[in-house]
Amino acid sequence: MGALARHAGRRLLEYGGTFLAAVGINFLLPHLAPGDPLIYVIGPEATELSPAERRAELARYGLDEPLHVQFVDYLLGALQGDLGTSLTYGRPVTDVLAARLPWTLLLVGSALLLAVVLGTLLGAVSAWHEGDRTDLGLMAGVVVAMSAPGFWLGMLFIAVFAAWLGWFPASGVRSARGAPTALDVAHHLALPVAALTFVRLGSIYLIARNTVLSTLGEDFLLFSRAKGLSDRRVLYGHALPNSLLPVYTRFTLQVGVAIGGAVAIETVFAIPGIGRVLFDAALERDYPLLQGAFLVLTVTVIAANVVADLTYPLIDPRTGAGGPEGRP
Amino acid sequence: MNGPEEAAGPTDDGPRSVASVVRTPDGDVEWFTVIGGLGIAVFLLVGVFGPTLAPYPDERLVGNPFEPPGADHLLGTDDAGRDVLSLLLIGARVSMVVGLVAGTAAVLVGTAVGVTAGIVGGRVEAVLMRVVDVVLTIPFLPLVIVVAAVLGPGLWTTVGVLSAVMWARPAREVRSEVLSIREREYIEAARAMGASAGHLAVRYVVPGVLLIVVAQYARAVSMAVLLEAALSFLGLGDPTRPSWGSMLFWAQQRSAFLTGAWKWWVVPPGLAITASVLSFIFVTLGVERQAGPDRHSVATDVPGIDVEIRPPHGGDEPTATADGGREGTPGAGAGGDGSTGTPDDEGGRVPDATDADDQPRRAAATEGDDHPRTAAATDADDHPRTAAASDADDQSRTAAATDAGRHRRAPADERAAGAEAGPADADGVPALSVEDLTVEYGTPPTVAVDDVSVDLRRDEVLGVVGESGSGKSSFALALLDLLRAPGRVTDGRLTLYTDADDDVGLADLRGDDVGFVPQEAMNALDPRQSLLTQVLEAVHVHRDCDRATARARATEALESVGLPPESHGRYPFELSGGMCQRGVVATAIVNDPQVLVVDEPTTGLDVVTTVETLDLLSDLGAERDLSVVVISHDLAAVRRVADRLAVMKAGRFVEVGDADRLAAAPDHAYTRRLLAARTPLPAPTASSERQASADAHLAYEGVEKAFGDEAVLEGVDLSLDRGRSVALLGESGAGKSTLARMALGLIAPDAGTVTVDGRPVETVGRRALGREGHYVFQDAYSSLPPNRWPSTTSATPGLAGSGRSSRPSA
Repeated sequence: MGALARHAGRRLLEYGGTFLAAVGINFLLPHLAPGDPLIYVIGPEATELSPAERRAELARYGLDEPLHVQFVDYLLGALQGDLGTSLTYGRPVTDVLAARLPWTLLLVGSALLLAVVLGTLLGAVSAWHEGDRTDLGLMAGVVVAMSAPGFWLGMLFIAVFAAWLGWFPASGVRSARGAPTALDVAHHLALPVAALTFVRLGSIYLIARNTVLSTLGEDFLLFSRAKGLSDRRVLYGHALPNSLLPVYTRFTLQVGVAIGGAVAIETVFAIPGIGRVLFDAALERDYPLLQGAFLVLTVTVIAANVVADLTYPLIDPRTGAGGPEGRP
Repeated sequence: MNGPEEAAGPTDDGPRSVASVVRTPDGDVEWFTVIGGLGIAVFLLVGVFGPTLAPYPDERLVGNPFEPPGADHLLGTDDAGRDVLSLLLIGARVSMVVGLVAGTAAVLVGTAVGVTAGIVGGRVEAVLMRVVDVVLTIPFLPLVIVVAAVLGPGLWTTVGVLSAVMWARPAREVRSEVLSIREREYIEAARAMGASAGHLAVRYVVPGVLLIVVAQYARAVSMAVLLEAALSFLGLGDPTRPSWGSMLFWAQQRSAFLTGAWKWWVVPPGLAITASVLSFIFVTLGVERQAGPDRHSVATDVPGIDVEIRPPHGGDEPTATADGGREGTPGAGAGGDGSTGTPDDEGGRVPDATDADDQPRRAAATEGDDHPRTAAATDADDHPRTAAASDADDQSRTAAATDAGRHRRAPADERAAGAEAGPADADGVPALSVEDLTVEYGTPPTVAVDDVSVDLRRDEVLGVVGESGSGKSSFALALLDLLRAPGRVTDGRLTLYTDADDDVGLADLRGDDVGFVPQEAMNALDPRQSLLTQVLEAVHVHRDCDRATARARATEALESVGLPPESHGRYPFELSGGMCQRGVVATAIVNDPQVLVVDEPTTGLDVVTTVETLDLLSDLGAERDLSVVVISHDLAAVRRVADRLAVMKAGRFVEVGDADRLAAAPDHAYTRRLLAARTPLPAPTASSERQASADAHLAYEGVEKAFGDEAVLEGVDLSLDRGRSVALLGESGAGKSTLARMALGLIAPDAGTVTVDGRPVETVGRRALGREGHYVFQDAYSSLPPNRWPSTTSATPGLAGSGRSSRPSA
């Protein structure tokens, strides 16, 4: 259990560090940027203030304090959910983001789930058929999909399945009229989820294929064949379960990338998620909202990692004894 | 795995030339690298010459908006009337500059960090890797967007931000590669010989890391191209330069996909991005395929042995075990597993029937049916080797080979032939016979098993002995069609005398009629399943019975190998190596096979466990009417249990015969050598009365060491004088090797001191220690770097050297 406690401690340190780094970046950027830091708090009108007004505004936001005091203030505010006021919405950043976060979670969550299940299975099939036509065909297809920009795939999907064939709506998350139903939302999200799944599939597939491939060289699989198990049973009963751990570990690294990818996809499909907020805020130069969105996305990634850590023992019977690092 | 890999010896890769990068270790062209390389070449050409090649200069409105592709504009025009093809050619440069510059910066920083962390280790590594973790956790694109938005869009902002976030992945990969190289035994061996860190880095680490760096570079460039496209698409790219991403930005802003223009306005830039990214990913894949370890996947279908199933010999009594097992199967009568009746039901198939009119039922050994294997089943009579095989003068094949030759010619005669070998053979009834088995590895083929024929008689234990690389394990694996690529059976036939259905293949017989205990049984259990689950699985695969019956059968098997009930539900990691091995044996015998093939049961075990294991096999064989094939390098050990011995050398049986006779009066010089290998060593000549010198050359005082929670050494005191030897004896895991490694400073004690000539070992310096103490590593095979000739490392492969931890220095 000592190893487990050490591991937990290390992860906590890592998450704390990540949070601090995100807050630090948010805090430092306006100071590094050219021009008046006040612009980043109250907007472009900061340049038109009289010296007295300016001092008053600086004092109001604590910008006349020494840097480290400002940082501690900012950090404490962030921890309490105070991320400032959005310039475009005129509302607290936290309120704006809270309404948007569920859509991002729904989009990214569905796509990642699909990508993990599909990617792992395809990777296992590919590994079993290493080097033959099935393997090369799958690999080529998956790698092409992962090379395409997600937003471009989304645009193509809209052009083909929405504009041309009319099977799916081109944008939004629900129909304008009537109460939103789960089916309606699924209908709207089908194309963006598909686009995001396609681009995320590749790396999970490659990890799964590699891991299963090296597991297939293990002695215990030779023995499971010696027991008389069918190929299918050797692959899905022994090789695949023993390969899930590395796939799962690497999957947590994917969360951040997937959330990043969601920004462009949300923009293409006009999904009112955090990514879209980030994009709009960047165009409008709504800095408090921009920074708040970035921080919330970072915290989301951390939360996903924590969930992954907590569910880790479910797929590894050895966690209790050797710790998650027990097996490379 | 035993096999010709050992005989083949390490290959010298040397520095990799460009040509070798596009070739796999087998000499095939690595198409991923080639295609990717060509794609990159095109990408770079367009990036450099694009603006020159463009039919219309940048930013000049040259046509009407939304003009479809035509003679004037090959790819039409966008909403502002700009030529799409020109934009495409001009836009490549942004992708190229951002990709190459950011990729280079990221990989340079990442490699520096990764190598530093991997080599320096300790606190520096911990800090660096936490920073890497943090950078990897922060979502990339949002960070880039925030920075670009605050600092203002521009080409160099993009490059800077991308470099700042992308270095972490290469750092992580490079570090783990450095660590894995460091932990390889040959590095430890080189350290033991006193090599400096710089020397290690240059000789071993850099060449090993180079491929990873190339792969990471290609990956970083591809990511940078994708991220730049996303940034430009979000309107955060350099507004003054057209790029593929910004073309899509305008297309998105003008809702191009709602008009017909998307076909020429949206598709080409996306394809350009995809093709460029794909080229780099292909190179990554190709290089990683090369850097990847050699794998011996169990899935690769390799040509196997031809199998013929015949009813048990003689017909006097069906084997009690097989019938007993089937009686315990309720309602299995009509199933595929059910008994097909006694041999008398198929009178025409008694082995005395001539081969000619009884068409051998050659069941495909694996599931694949359209296999070239059938072609390999050449008829015995027109086999080119027949003449040589029966030629008694052939030096390398003495009596046994002739014996084998007779088997092939006329199986019915073999009892008569066997009678010559010893009295026990006179009433031998075959359980299994192998004819003309040939196993080859790799291209060009190395022959591991060379035209071998042998019979296993019912209820006998046949020992197959030979040195490492003699082909004995390949022989065992081929018997069960378990060879892994690049191994394959090129010729051979297996006849199994069993009452199984005659249309089943080896895949169905494995674990049922034929059990297998693999080499290094401690690795043979699935680490994720409890022992009982794994034994139960073997039962369920072959028997259609309810859970309680299966459980009773599995429990009985586990108990019969001496595993107490409380251990049955444990996972392999909770069991000792010896217990795992017993578990594997239990799994192999749970379905009451007639034949059990045991591969190297004594490898890696100490004397005590070896004896226990062999006795267990011997007892089981007697209790369960098993016919057993035991493969081993240890003739003396196998003699304890074997009725007959087959001595294998260079893929052939040089001598087959009654175990006692063969041990007492071996015919073949090689057998004599194997026997001699275990004769007690002559008494040492050094006088034991020599005075102990006052100051010990090597001294351990109160040394303690624990790995994890397990204490390996507890308060060890030992001193060794100059010019003396101390032998450390103990069972596996007793701490012998740990103690020896401490003398070289390879492992630091948790408590206590290790001194050399009175100085603590950690202050002496490894180079000096390398002169003082030489350590001959156990497992000499993994102590040699795979890419060097043994002569350049001058490590001595030899018997395990744990006992001699030091030798006198001049």
